Amino acid sequence: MKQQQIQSLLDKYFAGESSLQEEAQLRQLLQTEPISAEHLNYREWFQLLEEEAELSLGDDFDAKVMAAIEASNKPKPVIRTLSVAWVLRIAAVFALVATGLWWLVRSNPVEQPIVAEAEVKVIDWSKYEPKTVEEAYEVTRKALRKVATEFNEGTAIATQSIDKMGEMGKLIK
Amino acid sequence: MNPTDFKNTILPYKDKMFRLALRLLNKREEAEDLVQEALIKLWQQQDRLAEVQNLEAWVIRLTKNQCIDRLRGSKNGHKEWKDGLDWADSTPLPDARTESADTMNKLQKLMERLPENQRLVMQLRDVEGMSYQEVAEALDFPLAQVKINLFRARQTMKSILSSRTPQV
Repeated sequence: MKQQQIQSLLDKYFAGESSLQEEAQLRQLLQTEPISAEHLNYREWFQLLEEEAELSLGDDFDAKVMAAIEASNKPKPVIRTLSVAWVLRIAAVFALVATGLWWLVRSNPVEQPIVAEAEVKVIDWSKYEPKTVEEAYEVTRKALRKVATEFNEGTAIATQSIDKMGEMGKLIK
Repeated sequence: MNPTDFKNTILPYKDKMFRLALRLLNKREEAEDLVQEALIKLWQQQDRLAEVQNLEAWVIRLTKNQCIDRLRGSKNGHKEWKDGLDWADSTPLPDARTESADTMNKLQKLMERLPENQRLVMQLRDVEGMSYQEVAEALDFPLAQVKINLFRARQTMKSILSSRTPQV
C-alpha cells in the first residue's frame, strides 16, 4: 500500500504536478518506510536535497558584513565648496565696493589748507599754548568735539554710499 | 533603515542567497564573496526597500542577477554554462551504471550541470521549498516557464536516478 503511495507521489513529482505538501509527504515516506530497491536512489536524491538546504554561512560572516555596513554608515565630513556662480557674485561685490570707494574719494577730496612757506616759518606756536589748566581743558574739549562731529559725518557718508551700492547691485541682478 | 534593522530584516536571507550562489557558481569562496557584495549592495539600495512588496523575491533576484553577471563576465563561467546546455541536449549520460561510492557527489555535480534556468528553478523549489508562484516572482519568470523548467529538470534527474545502480 505504502509502496503504491510512494510510486504515485514519485510519478507526480517527476511530472512536476506535485504540491509542496505532497513533496513533503513523499520525503517522509521515503525516509521512514521500508522501500524497494528501485526507490533507493530516490531516497538518496531527497537526502541530498535536504543536506543542501542545511548549508549556511557562519556567524563570522555576519560580523564581516555588519562591520562593512557600519563603516559605510558613518557620516562623511561635509566639504563645502563655492560654486563658480558664487565666486563671480563675491567678485562683483568686491568690484562694486572698490568702485564706490574710488568714487567717494574722488567726489569728496580732502582740501589741504594752502599755507605760504613764509607764513609757516613765522608761526609763533607759543601763543597757541594754553596758559592755565582750565584753558588746556577747554582746548582739548573743543578738539574732541570736532573729531566726534567729523567722525559722525564720515559714517553718514559711508552709509549713504553702501546704500547706493546696494541699489546698483539690485539693478545688476 | 539603520544597521540593526538591516541585520533583522535582510541578513536572515543570507543562507538562501548563499545556496543559490553556490548552485550557480559552484565554488564556496566565490559564492560567499558574492553574497557579501550583494548584501552591501542591498544596504546601499535601502531607500528602495520601502517600495519592495516581496523582500525575499527581491533579494533572490538580486543574487541571481549578480551571479549571472559574474558568470558571463568570466570565461570559466561561460564555459560551464555552455557545457550545461550541451549536456542537456545529449542525455542520457554515459557510464551512469559504473558510478563509485561517491555517487551522490557526482549526482550533485550533474545537477550543477543543468541548464541555468532549470538549475535555478529546481534550487528554489526542491531545496528552498518555495511555491511555483514564489519561484516565478523571485526569478521574474512567467509561471508557465517555471513549471516547464522544473518539469525538464526533474525529468533529467529521473533519467539519471533510474539508470544508476542503487547504493545500499
